[in-house]
Amino acid sequence: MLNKNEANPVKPERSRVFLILVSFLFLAFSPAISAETGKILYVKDIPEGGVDKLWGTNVPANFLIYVVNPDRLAGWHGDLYDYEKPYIPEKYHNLPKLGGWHGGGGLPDKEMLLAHKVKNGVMFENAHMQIENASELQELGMNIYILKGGDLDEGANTLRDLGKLLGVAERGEELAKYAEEALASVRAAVKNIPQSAKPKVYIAQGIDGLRTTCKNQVLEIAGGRNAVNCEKDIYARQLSFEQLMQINPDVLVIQNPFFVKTFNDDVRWKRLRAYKNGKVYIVPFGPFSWMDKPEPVKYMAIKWLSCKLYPDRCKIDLQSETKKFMKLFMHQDLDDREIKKILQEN
Amino acid sequence: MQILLRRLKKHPFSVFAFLLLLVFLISLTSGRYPLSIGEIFEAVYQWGSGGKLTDRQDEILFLLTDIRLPRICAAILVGAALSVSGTVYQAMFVNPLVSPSILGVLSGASFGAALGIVVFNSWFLTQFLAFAFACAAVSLAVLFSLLFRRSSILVLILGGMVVGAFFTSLTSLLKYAADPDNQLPELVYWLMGSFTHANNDNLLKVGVISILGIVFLSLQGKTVNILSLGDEEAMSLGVNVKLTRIVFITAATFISASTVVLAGTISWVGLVVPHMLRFLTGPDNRKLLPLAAMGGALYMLSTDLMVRTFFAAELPVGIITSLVSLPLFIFAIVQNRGRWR
Repeated sequence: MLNKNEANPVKPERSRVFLILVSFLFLAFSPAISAETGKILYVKDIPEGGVDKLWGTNVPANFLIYVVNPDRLAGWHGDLYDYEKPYIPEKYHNLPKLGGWHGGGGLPDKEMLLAHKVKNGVMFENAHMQIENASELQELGMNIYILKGGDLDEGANTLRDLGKLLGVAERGEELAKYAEEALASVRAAVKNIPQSAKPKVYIAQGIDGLRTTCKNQVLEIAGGRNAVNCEKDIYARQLSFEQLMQINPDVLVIQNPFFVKTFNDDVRWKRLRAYKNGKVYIVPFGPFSWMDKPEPVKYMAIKWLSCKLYPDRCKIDLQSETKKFMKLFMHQDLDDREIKKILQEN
Repeated sequence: MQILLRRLKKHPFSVFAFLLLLVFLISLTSGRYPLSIGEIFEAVYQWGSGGKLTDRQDEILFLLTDIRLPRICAAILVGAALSVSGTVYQAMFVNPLVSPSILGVLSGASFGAALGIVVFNSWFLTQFLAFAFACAAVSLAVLFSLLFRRSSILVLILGGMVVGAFFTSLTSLLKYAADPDNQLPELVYWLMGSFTHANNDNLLKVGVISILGIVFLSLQGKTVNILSLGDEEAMSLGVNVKLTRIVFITAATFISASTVVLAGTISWVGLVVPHMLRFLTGPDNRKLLPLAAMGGALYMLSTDLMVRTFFAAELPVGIITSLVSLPLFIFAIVQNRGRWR
């Protein structure tokens, strides 16, 4: 004979399901556990004296914070590269690693942001996907300032805004003036050169030199024409040597210093018109390639490149200008030997 | 079509040799650099007769000897090597789904290349380490199988899987650590496989190993046939199974690793070409192996020709081989129904 429980096995199951449902309902209507949500803020919302610690959600934004006021930089995105370290004072080497949205799958490290009580972040207006994801950071209680930026022409105002946000409005103004002067002087120097008279410049990237860039603001401002027509010649940024022979650029700009050795050893590159005419230039490097991200080094890059492309129109001494730039933007007083190293002149 | 197929089945070697020569000549005369066949003949004739070359002719000869020929030779070698090693592996492991990557050769190579690009930033080291780690991966897989007293084929395949997974994880780690603006795109492009980097230097470095390996394996049809009967049958026919397998694995590894130096990682060729050819000649490896060398070369050369002429971009050839191979693979499987024991 069956006892009571065995006779009706469904009953306890039903009550368990009921209990689970009730607990879900309870959870659904319970108040959120999270702390106060952060806000999305703009230039007009910057408080007097700026914010205490600031973190940039991507590498260019974060590096600009370092340039403007390193003492208020909340942390780096990850480890500094060995080649960057010599140009960054040691006391900043061991700032917390907070992550960030950068290529290659980088993400903000929420635990580190919480652990280091980072309350303010900055994004550029053109980083649309990051702005869409800003709520993830707001949930941590972070205020996100959205500034104009990510472009050389807007860069001067970005520097001004960051100066205010980091409590160093005067320094921001000084850097902005440098940026504006750099743009204006280079544009004036290469003005009146018809498009057809501009040299065809190939920017060799990668360790094999066969990767290139489609749109390069530094090249445009410095008065060069991109040798590669991305719509016609290539869709991706990789070429074959035969394509390069067909393009046969007037000037070759080597962006990756590691490619220089391959370039010297490989006879094929010596066939190009640029090599035969002695128009091969290595992009200065310090703390990273001048034609690469982040932005501020590009104000010096346009001066350098326009001087290489049009030496007769160049009114500056590149060495002393680099020295001045490194002191103003990178907080580094470098000697002549170090400046020569950056300019790849040794 | 039927007649063509019948002729192909009757005289596969001469048909393949003819096609290979044809595609070779088309490849030599087509490319991005505008060049007519007449100009090529003129330049070659001028050079042959010892006359003074004009600048244009000098440029044409340079283009042919330093740019196009190395790329064509690389495509031929890579195609032949992948296809022959695939055929040998399939027979040796008595499994039609085995490709040269079964013992971790491509995962090892990928890790070596990643190391070269991300850590050392050197093109020479990228190639060298790709080759070295390709060989190291297979050695590890073989060592793993030797840990077991009765080292069967299954243990060897398991070893290959373990080693492959290990190196794939390490490659992912390096991808994560790579500089996203410069190194990562380069690594990703390399991993997709391309003949962009083929040049005379690279050919000189690995060409000899590659050719020796391909020729050696192509002539081993009889032994491979015996091995494909299974270990016990092969032993009863007087073959030293363990030693032969090690020799074949070593040769196949060397030639697959040399493909990586020339073109990065290219998959599917070693799987599809042998299947297609079995449909033509049946499973007799004495015929199949040399034909696989020619067929693989023809297949790779044609795919690279497609990449060079149909697309404005320098598309990685590995993408095209995968896309072209899949329908061919399905076709071959349908045609070969019941042929594989």
